[in-house]
Amino acid sequence: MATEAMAGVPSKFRKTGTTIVGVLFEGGVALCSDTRATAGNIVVDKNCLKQHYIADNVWCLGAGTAADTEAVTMQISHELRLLQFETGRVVPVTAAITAMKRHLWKYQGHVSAALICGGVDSTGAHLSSVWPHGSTDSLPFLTMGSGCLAALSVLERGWRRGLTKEEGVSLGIEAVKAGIFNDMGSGSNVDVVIIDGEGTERRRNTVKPGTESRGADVL
Amino acid sequence: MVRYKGIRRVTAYDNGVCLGFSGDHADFQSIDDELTNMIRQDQCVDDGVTMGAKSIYGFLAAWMYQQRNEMKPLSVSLVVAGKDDKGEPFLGTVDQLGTHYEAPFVATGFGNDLALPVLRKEWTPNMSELDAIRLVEDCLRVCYQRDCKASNSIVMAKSTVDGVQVGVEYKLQNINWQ
Repeated sequence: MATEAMAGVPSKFRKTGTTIVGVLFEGGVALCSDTRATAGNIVVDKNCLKQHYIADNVWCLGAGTAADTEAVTMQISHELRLLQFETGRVVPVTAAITAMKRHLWKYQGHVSAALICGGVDSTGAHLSSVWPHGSTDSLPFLTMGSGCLAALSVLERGWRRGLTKEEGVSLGIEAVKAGIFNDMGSGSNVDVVIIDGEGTERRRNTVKPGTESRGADVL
Repeated sequence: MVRYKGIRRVTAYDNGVCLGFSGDHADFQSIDDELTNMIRQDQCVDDGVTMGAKSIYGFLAAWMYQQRNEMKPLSVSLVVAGKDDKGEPFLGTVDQLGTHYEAPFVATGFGNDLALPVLRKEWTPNMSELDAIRLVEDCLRVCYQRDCKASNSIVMAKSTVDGVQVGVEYKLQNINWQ
């Protein structure tokens, strides 16, 4: 960063700040994220991509240090491709999650990646979060990142069993928007990945809250 | 407060002001004592002018800031509600640094992270009393679900044209533990 170099202060490493959200609905999972990347108090990427491909049927969202989330998800994706060749089968979602937790635990939390991983396999739809130290939670709705509490309050009020696909997706979008508007580390647009029995659908920049008019609301 | 059940975090004064707090209970008791005496003195003077919510809020802001400057902060976040000098509804907050502002809705503690996003989305200027109570209850429910130290017993104090009252303590229903 030019200004920080002049001040003689080293720039903080690039983090994804972030609000990431996963919502299980009937028959699938919706993974939603914001698109702001920060280095300290500066926005370095206004429209970054926090969705990571793991397999055709498994996608992952990453919060924490951007380099770590990219590296971990890429490594696990390659490991699982090899597993796919060895077994000749579609990769189960739990294989991805186990690979992530084993990797992160080995590094005792020094790999600062907080992930939400979801997908659909022969046993159904799965959603789990993986914490930097290697623990996992498997729940119907999850949030991670600096905007997680803002998003969580939306999900606590709106989630119920038996959501349809569109209900799940719009709930996830509303949760990310709560993070975008109420958390400084999150902002810009909402990206969504929807995985269900029919396949995977990606909606990049599906909502751009900055361009909506919200009247008296403060951004 | 789960450790000592039945501790009230809101109180009301004769002059129509409600005060809520989050933080050190001892400091709140000290503030409560001081305000009670101040309001009683004000009534005794009996000059036809009584302190309203805005005056109390201004006093608390000045007092908290002074304490902070003397390195003896009162470790509480306060919410002051009532009527201002013109009789309009008033809501303000003061924290241990002396930071103070008025707003249509405020929150302390975990409420800053969990309740404010909900309030920012759902509050409207012409809400009915029932809608406001439901909204506050909803926020408290989310806070109870996600704050380990919260309990589901709540108390509400309200200030309206008819005066001020502290409600009975009751338990939140429909908690979602899934």
